Amino acid sequence: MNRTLRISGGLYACLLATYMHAAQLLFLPATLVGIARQEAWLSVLLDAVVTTLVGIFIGWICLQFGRRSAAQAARSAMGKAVGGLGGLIYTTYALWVSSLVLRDVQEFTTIVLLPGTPGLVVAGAMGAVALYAVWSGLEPLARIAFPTLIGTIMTMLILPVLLYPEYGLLHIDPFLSRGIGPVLEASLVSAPWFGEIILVFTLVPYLSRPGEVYRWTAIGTIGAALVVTEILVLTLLVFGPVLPSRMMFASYTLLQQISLAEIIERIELTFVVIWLATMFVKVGFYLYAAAEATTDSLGLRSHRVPAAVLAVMAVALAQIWPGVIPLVTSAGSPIYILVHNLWEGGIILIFLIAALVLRARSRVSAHA
Amino acid sequence: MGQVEDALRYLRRWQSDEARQLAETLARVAPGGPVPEELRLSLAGAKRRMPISPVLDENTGILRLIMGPSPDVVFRAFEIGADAHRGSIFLIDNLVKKDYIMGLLEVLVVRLRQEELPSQGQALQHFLEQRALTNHEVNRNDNMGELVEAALSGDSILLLDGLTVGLGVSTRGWEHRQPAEPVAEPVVRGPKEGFTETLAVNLALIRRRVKDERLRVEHRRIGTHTGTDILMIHLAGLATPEVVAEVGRRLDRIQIDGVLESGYLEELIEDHPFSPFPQVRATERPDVVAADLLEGRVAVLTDGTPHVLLMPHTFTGAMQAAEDYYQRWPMASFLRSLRYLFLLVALLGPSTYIAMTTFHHEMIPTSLLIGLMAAREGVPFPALVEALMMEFTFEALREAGVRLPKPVGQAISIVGALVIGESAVRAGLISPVMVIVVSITAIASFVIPFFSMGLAIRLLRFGMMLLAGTLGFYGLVIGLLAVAIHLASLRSFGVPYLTPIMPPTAEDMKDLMIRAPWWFMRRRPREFPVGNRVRQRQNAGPQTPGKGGGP
Amino acid sequence: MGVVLGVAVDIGEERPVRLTLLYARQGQSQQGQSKAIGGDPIYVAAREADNLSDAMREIALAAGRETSLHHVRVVLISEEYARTRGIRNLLDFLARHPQVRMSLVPLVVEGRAQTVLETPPQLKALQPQNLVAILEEKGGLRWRLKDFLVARVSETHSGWMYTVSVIQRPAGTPQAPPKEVVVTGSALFFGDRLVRMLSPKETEGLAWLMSKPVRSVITATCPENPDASFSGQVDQGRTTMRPSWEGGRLRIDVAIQGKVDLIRLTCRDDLADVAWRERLEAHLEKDVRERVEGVIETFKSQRVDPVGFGKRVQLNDPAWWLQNGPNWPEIWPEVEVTVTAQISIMQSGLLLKPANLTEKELSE
Repeated sequence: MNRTLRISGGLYACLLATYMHAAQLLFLPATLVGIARQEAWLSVLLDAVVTTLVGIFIGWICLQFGRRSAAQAARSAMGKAVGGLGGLIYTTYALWVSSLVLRDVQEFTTIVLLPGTPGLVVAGAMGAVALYAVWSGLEPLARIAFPTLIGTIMTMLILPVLLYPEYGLLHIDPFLSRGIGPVLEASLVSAPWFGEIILVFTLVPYLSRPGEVYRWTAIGTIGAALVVTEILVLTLLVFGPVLPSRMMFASYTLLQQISLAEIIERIELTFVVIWLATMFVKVGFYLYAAAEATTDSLGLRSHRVPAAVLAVMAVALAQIWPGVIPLVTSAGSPIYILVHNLWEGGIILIFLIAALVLRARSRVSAHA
Repeated sequence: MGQVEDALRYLRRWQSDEARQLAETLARVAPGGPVPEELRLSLAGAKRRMPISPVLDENTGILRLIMGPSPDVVFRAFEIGADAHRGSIFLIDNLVKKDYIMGLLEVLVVRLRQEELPSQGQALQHFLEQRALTNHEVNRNDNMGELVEAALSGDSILLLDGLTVGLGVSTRGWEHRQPAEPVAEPVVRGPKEGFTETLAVNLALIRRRVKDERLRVEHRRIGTHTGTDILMIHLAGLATPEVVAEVGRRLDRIQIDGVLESGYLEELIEDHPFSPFPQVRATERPDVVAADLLEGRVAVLTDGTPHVLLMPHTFTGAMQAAEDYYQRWPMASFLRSLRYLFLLVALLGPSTYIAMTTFHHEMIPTSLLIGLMAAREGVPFPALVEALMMEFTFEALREAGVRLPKPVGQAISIVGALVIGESAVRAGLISPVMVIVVSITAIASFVIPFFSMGLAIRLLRFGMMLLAGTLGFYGLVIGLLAVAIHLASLRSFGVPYLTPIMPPTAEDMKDLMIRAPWWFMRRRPREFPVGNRVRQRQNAGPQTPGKGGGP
Repeated sequence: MGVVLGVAVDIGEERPVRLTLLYARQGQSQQGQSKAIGGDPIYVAAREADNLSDAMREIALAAGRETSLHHVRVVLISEEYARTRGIRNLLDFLARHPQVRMSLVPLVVEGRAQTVLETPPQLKALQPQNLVAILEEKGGLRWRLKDFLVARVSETHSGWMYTVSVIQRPAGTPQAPPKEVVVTGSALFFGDRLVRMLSPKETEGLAWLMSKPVRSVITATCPENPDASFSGQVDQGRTTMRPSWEGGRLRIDVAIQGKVDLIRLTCRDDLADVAWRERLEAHLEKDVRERVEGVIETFKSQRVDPVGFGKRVQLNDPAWWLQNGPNWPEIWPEVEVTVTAQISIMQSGLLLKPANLTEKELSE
């Protein structure tokens, strides 16, 4: 780990936006459209607003820690045992989500790209390269996030044009014809996904100008939400408000619809390549966050060994889901939402307490 | 004869334990018998501590022992001055220019015939240096070690009775190649001069291009056996002092018996020894060195090779050819972009083909797919094996083309490619499409201007092919990401390898995919943290005379 | 790998389903001497089974290569199958299959669907590509599997498909295949079942209603002389449907605007005369209006709504729709629809006046 590393605000927002939107693109459209139908995009924007506020709050907490990582701060505020445990809860969260993301990639790849390939090979390959990235440090990951996001932005710019012939006015329902209720319900479903904003705990200490944390957090979060919103809007325009909820990978099926001419057809894999890269950035970053938090919580010197252990664990954990159907459907289940939101909220709470303790301490010492 | 006794006398005069031991060993040598090699080696090992004796014969005796019985070791004895003072010139034949030696002898033997010389010591030395010798460079060598090294570098060593130094007279001159157009880096427009194997010539080639007193040249001698001269060059005020110091430190750290080519140094000083990517640039072109010096880089010249090292070196630097800056900028920009495109082809050409035909036929337009399948029909191998066979064959052909003597080489590679490509297709072993893919890839890998970068890409291509053959596009993505992570973590002397792409530097994009017009490049690349970055004054662009105000 | 380009579904003679696949055959390469496989560029395989999946499996068992559905361009459904069995099964099978793309074109075949795949085309190498090309040549109305699926799951729409049939080739060279496939019209679906076949003229009315009548030809009699006629090719057409409620009664105004290029004119009129041109346009308008009114009556009689009258009503008054939407098939036949058309002649090819003497000139 290179603690002296500084990343610019733009790169910070880039990494944040990349890891936030990557996994959402795959499953969220179908699930959200299933609940909120045409207004699914509204619920994403709603979540984005709330998430931005949470992100800014997290940014404030991080600023109390100075250049220390959250886990280090918790350790120094609440002692080795309690603080270390707090850091480890953060680790388990990052590990858990990275394993979920690996499984997403694994399922998508084995269904769409490489039928018949053992899932473990797929997840293992990505886990291995992610570990290599983690070993190389945060810097290469952040650097790669940049061109990946550029690719995503280009995709977002070109997709509406490529899909233009598929839009149907007849696919549109009256706006909010079923009231605001489903929108709120859908925004609850996507809440755990947006709760991943807590990963900025790892990112903020590296920000070159900490004072800009609020601005860049907002930009990153809104940027990620815009990507998801655009995909949702395009999905709705092309498939109407009912069909997407029947699909396994609505966004992928959306890409398959591109057919402008014989050679501007069958190009969905080009976009999938970019998406896979964003997923990789996500896995790599989560592993990095987990490895760093472990190192700091346990007071270790190097993050290499924990990273390796965590990478193996993530790949192994990814295998515990019984299949893609529970993986997709569970995202809408109340237990899943509750557990994840509690988990995310708990982590914010732990670090908030650490921040308050440190603040109080510094005040006391300032008075003394 | 004589030399053993002379050497014994020398050793006895040299008052030290080491000398005493050596003398004892030497005394045991049978008169007229062969001197054992171990003894010569231990004498050579002590040479740096051996003083110069005031007695000429003793010096020549010990020198003959140290140098061994080589036919090109010459001791030319003479007498100078009115009192026939005895002297000798010690030199290695063929490393010196004969005219210089004749001139030297003429001065010593003919012109000084009537002169009254100071008998010995400081006065004699002063007389020779200040009044007699006409050569432009005369060095004092205080011990046998320096003396031997100077002689081996081509100096002629003047030894005189009563003188406790050896005067090294620069008479270097040997057969060497004239500066010719570099074979590996030819240009259509631009200087056709290339570096040679001679350090002094190379330095002169650079000096001729950079007529600036701020050009700093540091000399080092690396290699315990080869004693290779190394020059480290930078432009003071432009190069980052930290980088210059770091290059110096890394050069100083080298402990090796020999440096025969700059490649030795490259591997010994680079940041990431396990990376396939070159982190130091090598060039044969003096104009490239001059341009890089102007951008604040450090050049390292190695004696005996025309390849000059330039550092720090970045990925984008490898994509820049010298000619980009000599041709008009729109064309140069087009070629630059083309290179980046074909860089991708060189890396991913065969692997994309493998992935598409093996795993992702849904990507291929239907009519093309039917054509492709028809072409592949009857080929008994999977696409991966087919591609590997062709690529290996092609690499072997290329290697053979390089290694074989020139007249044979070309014939072999042309015939080989034709015969193997054509007949393999006819025999149904290879599909015609694969031949096209491999050919395009081969062309693409030659488009990369820096040869070592092309080699790295060629090497990685095989990895990509294996990944594509096993995991299709997913494998390709994984492989590309691994390469990207690797590149993003590489640094060359502190400079991120992917500047200005990652981290993105908007200002330096002017020399990335497009080569901006010269009048636009007002500043030097930002990759170096300090230094004078202004290249030209503002409004240096071509000024069109005002409308209507013409002559 | 066996690349399937077309799929045909029929009712089997012995078992419920008959599935036919058209494989593109990997012909011999030009250079190689491996002429292991000769004969036709295609390979058609058919099996009968209890359901589509079984039939697919049985075909795969007879094919020496892995069957790939990535490149299926058309799915042909026999009229009988669509009428009696419904296409729910087939649609689920297609939409669920990871290899099948929703951009394929579903077609109803008058008669046996299999024969379409067995009929070699003439201007293209393979029949599925030929059919797709014919449909593209017809104009801008793209109607693919995706569109059908969207219409089927929507509350407001019903589905439709183009129809094709195999006919005896009316003209041919000695080597020409005796039969050819033509696009004949369209088929209307109520839910999953085919309820009505439309003639080509009616299908053009459908295209008008979907604002994509491009390249269709309108013919009308000349204003002065009922024996002579003239034709225009449609260059652009736009249809708006405006629902309104008069005393609780729903009524929809359909306004058609079109731009037409004259391609044939036997009337003895001078186009330079504005009044004459307007009369020609009025005749064209009448033709279009009647055609569209006819097809709307057909829709009503079958209680189907493939062009989205219901959607317009829903967008116009969501509250009304929430209440009455589920009964749309019952309400729709009672809705009063008025059609107005406005056609302008934009071009008349390379001739400005008729190639014969005009009425005026004759009288002079």
